[in-house]
Parts: sequence; structure tokens; C-alpha cells
Amino acid sequence: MMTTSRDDPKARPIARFLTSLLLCAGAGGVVGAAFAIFGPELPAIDRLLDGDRMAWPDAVALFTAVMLTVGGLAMAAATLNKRWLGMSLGYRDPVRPREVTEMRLQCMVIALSGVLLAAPLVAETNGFGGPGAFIAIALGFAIHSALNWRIYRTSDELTRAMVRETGAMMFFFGGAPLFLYAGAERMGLVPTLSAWTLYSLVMAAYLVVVLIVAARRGALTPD
Amino acid sequence: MNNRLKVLRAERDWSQAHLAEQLGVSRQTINALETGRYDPSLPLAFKIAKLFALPIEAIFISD
Repeated sequence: MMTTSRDDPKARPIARFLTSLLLCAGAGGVVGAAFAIFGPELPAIDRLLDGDRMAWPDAVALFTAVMLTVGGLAMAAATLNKRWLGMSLGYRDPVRPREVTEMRLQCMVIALSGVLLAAPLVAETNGFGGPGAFIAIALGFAIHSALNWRIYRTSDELTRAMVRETGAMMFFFGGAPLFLYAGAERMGLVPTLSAWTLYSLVMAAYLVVVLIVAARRGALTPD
Repeated sequence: MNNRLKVLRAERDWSQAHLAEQLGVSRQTINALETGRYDPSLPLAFKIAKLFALPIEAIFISD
């Protein structure tokens, strides 16, 4: 049977990539507009977005957290339409129930990463900076780690290879700059940075590295 | 490294899902292999060779 380019999910990878890009840009625009319009109305967000109080490491952390959370939730929403998701992944048929379950677990972990990254900032800014809030965040982190470990254990070799590749790239993009900055700081050449600042930068670098690795292995543009 | 996976699969009229199931990997992995974005581990390469009843060098070609 002849297959038309419309039926063939592999026929228009650039169009599909551009569509995904437009959808992401649209989602980013909606989130940005929602923050701008409704942020001042909500005291918790208003305090967080107050220009006089927001230090740049907090802005980096908040941006990374929003990207992770919105990205995770958007991907989770995409799993509701199995046919569309199958096509976007370059498959000829809809994704299967087991694939959907695995993807939803991954989406949950990504979204939870964002929530955890924003949690200390949101808690402290809104007067919940005590040990109780920290214990709650630590518990959330333990759950996140357990889910991450489960994904690693149950996934196949491509996913594991991507995890290892991300770790290796983070050595160069995260560990190496950290060493150079720490050395310069110890020698009194640069100002001292807080652990929170360094972690925010590492997480921002991690987000970029994950996207690079995913693109290299065809997870963003399957063909 | 190049490979003939897509051609061999097409010759047998297998879907990516069927091949993935036979090899115990995800369809994403089959897709990445066929598009040359991922080189398989040695155990997976042996598994692929066994499934197609071909020597590894008849499936995977060094650049």
C-alpha cells in the first residue's frame, strides 16, 4: 500500500520539530503571561517576584524550576493523546500502555525536580524557613531520588547511556567550572558565592546538558 | 558506525515495536539505532545478530 507523506510520521521531521518548538514557545508565553498577570494578585508569588528582593541566583533557580515543572507537566499532558505522542516520537502507531506508564513516571520526576528546586526559595520568601519546611523538602528529595533510581533500574540501555552521558558532560560543564571558581575564590581573586548560588547554576547547566544529550540521541527530533 | 538494521527489519516486514519487543528494548532505542544516533552495547549487538541470524559485521559497519 502506498504511504503518503501525510501518513508517514518520518516524512516531515523538520515540520514536526518546528511544531514542537512553536508549542513549547506558546506554552512558555502562556506561563510568562500568567506570571505577569496573576503573579501580583497572589501574595506568595508577588513576594517572590518583587524586583527589589529577587537576587540573580534566585532568578536562575526560579527560571530553571519553572522550565522543569512546566516541561514535565506538558509532557505528561502529551501522554493523554497516545496517537499524537506516537507520531511525535517517530512511531508509526500509538504509544503502548507500558510506554505511557514509563513516560508519565519520567514526567513526574522532571516536574518534581522543578518543584524541589523552587521549594527552598518559595518557603523562605513566604516565612516557612524553619526546620519543618526543610524536613518536608528533604522527604520530597528522598522520594525524587527513589523514583530516579527506579527509572534507571527499569529502563533500557539507551536511557541508561543518556544518564551516564549526562553525568560525564556535567563533569565538564559543572565540575570543572566549579573547581576553577573555587580555586580563584580560595586565592581571593573572585567574590565568595553561596552554596545556593552554585547549586542554582549547576541545575541550570544540568537543564542545558540534558537537552543537548536528548537531542544528540534523537529524543527531541526522533528522525 | 553505520548499520543495516532498518533494511533488515524492512526485509522481514517487522515494525519497530516488534523488533523492540524481540530485543527487550524500547522503540526509542530502535529508532536511535536505525538513525545512527546510538551505537548498541556489545550484548545488544550480539542479540541483534542472533535475531537476524547474521554475523555482527554483516549488520554493523565501521566507518
